[in-house]
Amino acid sequence: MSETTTATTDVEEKHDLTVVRDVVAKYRGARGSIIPVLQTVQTHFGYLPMEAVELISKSMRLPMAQLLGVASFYAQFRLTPRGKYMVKICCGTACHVKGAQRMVERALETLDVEAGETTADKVFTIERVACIGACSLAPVITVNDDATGYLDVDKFAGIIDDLKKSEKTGDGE
Amino acid sequence: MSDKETVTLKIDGIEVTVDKGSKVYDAAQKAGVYLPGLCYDPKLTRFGGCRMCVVDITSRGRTRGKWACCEPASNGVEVTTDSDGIRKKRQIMMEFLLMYHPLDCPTCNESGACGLQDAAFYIKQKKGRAPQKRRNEPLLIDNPVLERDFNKCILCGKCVIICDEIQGKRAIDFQQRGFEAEVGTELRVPLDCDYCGQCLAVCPTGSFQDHTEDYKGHDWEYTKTVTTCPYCAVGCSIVINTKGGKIVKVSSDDYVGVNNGNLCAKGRFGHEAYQADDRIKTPMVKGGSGWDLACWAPVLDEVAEKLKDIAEKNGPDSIAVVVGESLSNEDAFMVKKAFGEGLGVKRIDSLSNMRNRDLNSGLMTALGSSAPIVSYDEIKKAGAFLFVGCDAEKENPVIANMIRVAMRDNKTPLYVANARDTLFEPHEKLRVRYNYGGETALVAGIVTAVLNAATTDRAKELGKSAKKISLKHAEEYSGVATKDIKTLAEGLTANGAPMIFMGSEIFDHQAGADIARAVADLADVTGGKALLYREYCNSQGVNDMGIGADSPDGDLFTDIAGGRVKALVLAGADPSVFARDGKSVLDAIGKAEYVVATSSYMNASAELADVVLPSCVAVEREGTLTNNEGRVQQWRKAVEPLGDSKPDWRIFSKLGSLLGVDCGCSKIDEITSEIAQKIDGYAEITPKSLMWGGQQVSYSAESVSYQYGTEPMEIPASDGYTHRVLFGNSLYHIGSLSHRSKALTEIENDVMAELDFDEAEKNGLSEGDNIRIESEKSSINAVVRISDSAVPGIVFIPKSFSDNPALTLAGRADAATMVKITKVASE
Repeated sequence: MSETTTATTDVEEKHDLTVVRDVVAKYRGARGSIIPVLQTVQTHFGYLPMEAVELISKSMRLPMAQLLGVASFYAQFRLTPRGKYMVKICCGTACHVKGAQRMVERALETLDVEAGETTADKVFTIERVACIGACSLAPVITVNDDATGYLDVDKFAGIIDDLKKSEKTGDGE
Repeated sequence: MSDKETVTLKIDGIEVTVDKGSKVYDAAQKAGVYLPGLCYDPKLTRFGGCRMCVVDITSRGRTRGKWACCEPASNGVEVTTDSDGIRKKRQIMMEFLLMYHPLDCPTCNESGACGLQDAAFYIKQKKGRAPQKRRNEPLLIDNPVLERDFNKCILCGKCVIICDEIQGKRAIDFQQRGFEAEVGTELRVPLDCDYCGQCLAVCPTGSFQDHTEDYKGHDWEYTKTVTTCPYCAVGCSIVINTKGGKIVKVSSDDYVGVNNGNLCAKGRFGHEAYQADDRIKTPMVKGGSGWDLACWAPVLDEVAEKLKDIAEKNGPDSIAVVVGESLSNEDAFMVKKAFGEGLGVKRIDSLSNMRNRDLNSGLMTALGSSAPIVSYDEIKKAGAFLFVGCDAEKENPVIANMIRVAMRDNKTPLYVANARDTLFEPHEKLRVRYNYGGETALVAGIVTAVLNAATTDRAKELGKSAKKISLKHAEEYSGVATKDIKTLAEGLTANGAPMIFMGSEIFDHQAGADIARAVADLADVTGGKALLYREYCNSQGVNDMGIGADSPDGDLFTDIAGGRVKALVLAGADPSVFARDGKSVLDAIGKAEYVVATSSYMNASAELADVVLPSCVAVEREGTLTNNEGRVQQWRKAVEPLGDSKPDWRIFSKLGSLLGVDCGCSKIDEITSEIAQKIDGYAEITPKSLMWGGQQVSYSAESVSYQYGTEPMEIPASDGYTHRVLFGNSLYHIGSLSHRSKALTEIENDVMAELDFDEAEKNGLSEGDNIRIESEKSSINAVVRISDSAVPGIVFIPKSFSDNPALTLAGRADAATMVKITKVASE
């Protein structure tokens, strides 16, 4: 593994990997630094681009199998690009009872994606998550970091539509 | 940890004493009590994942359930390994495992040797209570040697730990989580590793399967023979599994030999070579229209007559013998006896000795013997490691395993000094790169630094008078900063006796003898040990048998071409690949009047012979061989010789009798005993003493020189030639044997020339490009491998490929081989 270079891996887009170099330099030689390094990289790119992980692997002399073993274990790490809006639908017990499943179905239907995936236009990523700790607001979703509660299928569809519209008119967030 | 501390405890009422630090599991094994344990291996860091070895431990009147594999054995405790309560716990764990693990036992390769089967059988696990929930994934075959069945994995983690701790690769790890959890490569990319099969060896289930075994049988059908691996000079014990006279696979045994069950790709998967289709099965005599098959008796008569004739006409110096280094001690001894005593032949030599005669003599003067007196056990005790001109992972992979274990257990620091940036995982403390030719200066510089610091007893005793070089000159000649030389000296003396390894860079180095002497001095002044990585399985033994000792100076092949040597005997040697300047070597052999070759396979040199005699491969014969550490071990016969082939010692003892020597040996043990009488250091080696694990040779006392030149070697400038060649061996190929293995050639079939990334990019070369490497002597084809260990201006080329023999690039007496590299269009 350590022998052949992986510098010429084809990835969809070339990233500016300065942030990776910086964080690697910061944690070099420190034990137990895989998670903070991956977190920093993910915060920057929104996910873990493979070329970034390869650079971490080479410069920290950590095997790819180990890095991706960690990355694939924790739900917080993503290996695919995320959309502009990360919609997390809580499927904990309370939300489930209050019909979270129906919202998931609606979302997947209207946006034509599978759970955990990103729409082709890279606007939405839909994820089912376990309890987010706001059961009193059930059923609840978060869009990026903002939570909205007391939803039903129609209200939920409204939120998605609004986001879509604002995206089209260019209003942004 | 002190050596002798022990603890005594009771396992099911049986009192047992074990070393302190052992686990209860080890104590139970010692007491002969079976414990089901799926994730435990004494050579790995404990994992404690399967929970199957749960036992009740009573200490100070309190009984608690503990895992035997994690609990240190302590004085006076009582262990119960079986009770209703314990059985219930184990049953629950086993129910979970068998909920997931498919019960494919009838079609599983592992059946009969399966740890899970044994444990389930012991626990008497019947159908569980929960519904079965099994993965149903197809077998993954993404490499030539290992098959993966993800369904059968029980996530015991042994493969991950051995790959990380002992192999230093961590090519596989736990991926995903929950029901999807699996052991494998990231995103299931095809396995790209050392293909050592360590994971396969420790896997308790059939999740890893040996692709070379290919479902040829079940474990209980195999006849198992422990023998010594015929590839490199480590001398690992391998277990040959045969069924109906055919070799099915090679397995390893943790409790036999020097290697603690560790093997590399060659040892474990290179077995297809032994019974390859292209073996020579009958004696062959060159007739008018090609090869005629012949019978042994008339052929040997003819060979003896012809050689006698030549010796009578032209004197004994007109005959030369080249001995292969993969022959046993008995073979080499018998060659020397037959030709030395029978015809008075002096020129009996080996190819590596001919390539670098000074090296062996250098070792002789430095150490008083041609082998460093050192044992692998010292690796465990070493205070530091230093590599000089060696790439441990590639050259002797199993020694690298031992070093990694020592680094894990003792945190032994590792230092690397090399012409390239060779890596060693886990991390080395300091890596320095010297200028080619400045090796001696560097090592002598470290000696100086040690003497200056005077922290070791020997340094105090010697004083500064033993200094050979000033630090300033050491820096100037070697290109290594004084600061780094001091760090190396400090690191080597800080924790007690260090161990210094010399490797392949020394073999083909003109100043190899000086480097070896300097290293011997460094070992002396630091109170440490030096070990030379030898190349082939019996390089050491062949040397010890006196091959090359009486050889006259002067180049053999020049003498053949010049007509001074008329007859050539090639005893398991192929100079076309393994001598420098192979083209002129072949021309010379073509000019010889009479050539006899013994070989298991046809090769370019044997093609030019008048008579070719089929010799057995290692697994078909008995014999002894001497490894890196001077340990004499046995070859044992696992299969019958193919066709009419015979072991070399028998061929040469018959030939010797015809030449009038009293060989009188019909049994190999007689020759082993004769060696004990006649060869220095081998007095204690008897067939009986070799029964278990072999025995180390006791060479005569060492003597240290402190005499060598430290001036850097002059490398003549050569116009247009841009790269200096470092010859070596790839991880997968050594000698001619490995190229006959289907699995190994599938892993690597091309000459992979290792180049530096930036330099290659500048020259428009990238990974996988076909290139032509050209020197003044010849040219070969190769494929570019971009390597992290490569440095600009140096190309590393493995030398054992007979289609593109790298040594043909080298002139016989060149200080350095310079080449130019051009890209060729791929077909």
